[in-house]
Amino acid sequence: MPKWGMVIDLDKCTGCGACVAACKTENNVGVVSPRLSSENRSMFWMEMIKMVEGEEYPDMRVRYIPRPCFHCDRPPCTRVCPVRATYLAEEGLVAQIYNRCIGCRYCMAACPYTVKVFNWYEPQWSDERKQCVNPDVSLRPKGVVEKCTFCYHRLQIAREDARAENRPLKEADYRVACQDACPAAAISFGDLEDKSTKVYELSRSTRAMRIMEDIGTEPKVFYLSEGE
Amino acid sequence: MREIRRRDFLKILGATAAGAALQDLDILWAVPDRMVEEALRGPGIETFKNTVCQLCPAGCGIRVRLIDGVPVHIDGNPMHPINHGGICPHGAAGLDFLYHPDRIRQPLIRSGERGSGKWDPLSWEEALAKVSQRLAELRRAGTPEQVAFVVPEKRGLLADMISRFMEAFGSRNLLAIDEGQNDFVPFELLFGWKAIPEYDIEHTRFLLSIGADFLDDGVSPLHGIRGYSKMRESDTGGRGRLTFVDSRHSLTAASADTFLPIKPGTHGAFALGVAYVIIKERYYDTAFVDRHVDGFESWVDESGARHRGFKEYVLENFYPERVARIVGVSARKIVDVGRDFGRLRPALAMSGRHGSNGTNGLFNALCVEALNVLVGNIERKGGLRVQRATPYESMPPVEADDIARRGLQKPAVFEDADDRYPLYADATLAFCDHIESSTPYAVDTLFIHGCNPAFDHPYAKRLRRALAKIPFIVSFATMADESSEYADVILPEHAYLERWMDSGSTPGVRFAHASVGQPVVKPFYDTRQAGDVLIDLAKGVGGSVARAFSDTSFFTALQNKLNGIFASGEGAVISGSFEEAWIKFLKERGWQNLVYESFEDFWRVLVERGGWWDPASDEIPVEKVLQTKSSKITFVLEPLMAKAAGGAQQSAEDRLNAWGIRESGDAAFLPHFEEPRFEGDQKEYPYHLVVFGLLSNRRGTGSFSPLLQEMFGYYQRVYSGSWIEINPHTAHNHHIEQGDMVRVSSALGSVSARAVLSEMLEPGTIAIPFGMGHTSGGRYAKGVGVNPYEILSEVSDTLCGKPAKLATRVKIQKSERIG
Repeated sequence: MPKWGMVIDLDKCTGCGACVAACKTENNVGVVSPRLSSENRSMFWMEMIKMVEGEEYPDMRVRYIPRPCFHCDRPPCTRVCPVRATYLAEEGLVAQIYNRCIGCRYCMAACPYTVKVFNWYEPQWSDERKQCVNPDVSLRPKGVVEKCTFCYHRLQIAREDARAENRPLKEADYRVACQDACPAAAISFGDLEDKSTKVYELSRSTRAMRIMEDIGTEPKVFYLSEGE
Repeated sequence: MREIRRRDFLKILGATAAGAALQDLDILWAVPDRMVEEALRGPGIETFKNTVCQLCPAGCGIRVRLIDGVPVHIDGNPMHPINHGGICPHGAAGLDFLYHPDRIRQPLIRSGERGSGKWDPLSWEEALAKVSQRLAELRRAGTPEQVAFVVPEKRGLLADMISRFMEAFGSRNLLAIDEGQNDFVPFELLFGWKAIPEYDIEHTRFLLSIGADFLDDGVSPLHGIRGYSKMRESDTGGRGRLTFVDSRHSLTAASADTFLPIKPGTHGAFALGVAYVIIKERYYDTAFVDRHVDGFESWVDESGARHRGFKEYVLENFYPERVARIVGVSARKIVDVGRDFGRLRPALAMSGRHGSNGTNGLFNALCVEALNVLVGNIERKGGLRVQRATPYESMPPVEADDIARRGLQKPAVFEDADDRYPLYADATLAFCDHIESSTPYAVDTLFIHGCNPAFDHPYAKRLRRALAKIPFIVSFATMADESSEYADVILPEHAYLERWMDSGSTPGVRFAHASVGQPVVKPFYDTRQAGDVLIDLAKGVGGSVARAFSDTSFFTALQNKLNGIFASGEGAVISGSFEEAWIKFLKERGWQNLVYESFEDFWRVLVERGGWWDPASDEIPVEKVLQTKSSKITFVLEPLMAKAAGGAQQSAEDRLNAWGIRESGDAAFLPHFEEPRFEGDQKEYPYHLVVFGLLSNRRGTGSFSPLLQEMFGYYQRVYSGSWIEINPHTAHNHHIEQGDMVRVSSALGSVSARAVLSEMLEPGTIAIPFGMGHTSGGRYAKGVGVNPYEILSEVSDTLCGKPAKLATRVKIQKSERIG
């Protein structure tokens, strides 16, 4: 069984934000008004995080890194869910069932990486814009928690296609939206346990690291630090 | 609104499972009716269409995903040689522009005061008749020069048609207002190139960007990002390093291995400090410099007078300790950069953007490019590569009639811009002055296409005053914006995914290329292609104007233009990266590349794939690539010398003074450092204002999209609002904390926004992003954030008149009031 994971090469990433925008349109993530946004109600599945290294100006380093859901192998969020709306699914994806979610937001509190967002209000789509939402992804009602799914709908489609053509699923069949969008080709995605994939090789390179590895969550998103 | 309880919810789910009552779904899932219908009717067939993104001038290829003909997602076109399948946030949010609820849906005529937003709908026939009558009257009166046209820049077929229209009509008042339009000037002066060359980032091992924020706000950011990404790979001759020198910590700075914050506008001094190390420690390419460069060594002219060359000037003046005092970076670090630049080959220096946004911008850029000259970085891998021309078919020359000829003899209203600035003057301010004073004649009718001068120009304030003065304004806007508020008639253009379009050649790209944009959907509203409207207007006006347009539509004109590519037999329709090697292989062996039976065949494939390119351009030897008079790179700026000597009334010295050149003698005509000039009293306004652009917003157009508006400050985590960047030390002195409201004031006004403490910002600098603060532009743009252009002083580069966006001093104050 595959184990899906992502590798983000920080040596190539420029922080351009294409992944942020592509993720929002692909997954029909709602846009909130400026007033609600100022109350921290904006929802991003992929977010840019600022990292500061060093103490004194000008001998410091400030970097921006993209952060999707890490789809941890030992996810803290799933253990606190009282209704099993979020759980570690097959193939290592941390799933979120919207219509089971009761909106208690325990999982948001439990996630050390703050990847989960809550739909405080009904999503605001203009009548015109509603026409071009992605039909592969359901629109969420208010009152539920959502997060990055590793574009699970794309896996479903890719698998159906592969089955229809009577062939095994190939690496190129299942690509996530942020990976497609990235102009620097910094994002790789695939089966972490298949030796033929790029992520297999990259996630085992000497540059590979994971965020807050010491807390034992075992994230499946790896970052490649700078250098050769 | 009906409230949905859990029980209803389950009921509906059950209904879905039974396959009935799908209509009920839209209440819960908010899936549009049309979508539900199609889900019921259509099988959900997925198709892809390639076209070209028109949201900024970079000309990236895009691939639109459609489900049953409805576009649902935009990605990069993987075959396109500029972006290789990548996309930027602006491009990814493209559907927001197509499906914007506030698009202009039919021609409009203003019924209230300007800016009141009151419009009456009009039929196209009425609207075209109204405009062409006015134009015909001007020609009847023998004053065709009273028509003016404002465009962002002169690139692509539509721009060709507009130039043609103006020429045949008899007016020279075609004004390009893009701030970057003169960015080729340093290259023209040094190398004789009329376009920005490519910086071959991909193959360089040490990239020194002095003020060029190329990853965030470049001419073609995705081409730059792609090159940067390739540079970081170690399999292409070792991982390349990036050192970035500027006064603001941008995304480029965050990506750099080393970021050196310098005082605003001192980019040229830093470059000369690096040049000092390269010359002093003999890292420069002596063979190259001897052979191809004039003015490096000091020389004696025919009259026996001795002249100082670049080498002597630099060695005398720019020793690292002095440069350290000017730029505010330690001498040690300057020497390190100089040694890296000298030792690592190929090393590439990059100028532009912030470095050239001061009053001394052109000189700064010249100093930076001089580094490339020293290491012989011309037309080499990892160096500056000149752009190859695309074999377009040009239109036959215009046959102007008597009226047009007389009109063309009149000067353009902005003609005296050339007297204000010695080199390639930006005419925007001259245009404003003359419109306001109605000299040498009044402009009666103004067309605006493709830009929003009342908002997106640093001199927007002045441009607004000028617009207010013009009696009749015609806009082609697809969305109401600040400029179309001044219009009398709006002839709305199709949105970018509804029209045929080409994007011309993207500056800063080496290979010859052409992109074709096809309509992805049928136009939603009663709008028209601007090219077609121009042809209709020409027909309405008659005379030489009508004769100038033999094409029946923009579409046929586009086919005619691209027929030149087909006829040349060069290059190939884009088809994926592996082809590059193949095309080169064939060409080297004397084969012609893929040949199409007929133009129709070529066109069909071209449209389907979205572009054409010629990666196999012949290598050009350095002597041939240099297009200066002497076929050498010249450090002596002869055009400036000629201008300085040309004044009958003034001495050369006075003229130099008037252009703000304080250096005297030979040095005045070398790439040299001029102290930047700042507006505003230093005591009252102690900080320098840096206005910067964002990839997600570009020219303020991102604000039309709700998504881009929300993610405006995504990397500072400031959503749906402007922010003000302050160094934490500076903030501490003013008792400002992260998130506080701060007021930034210049002599011209003030703006307030949330404070973001930016650790690596130069402490004497305050930075504000451009893009927000619209007073028009639809429901998402209007009234959100602030526009820093409103507090910019009206200062320009003293040589070419480029708006000096870094030349304003400001003060800051913690403000209690939110707003």
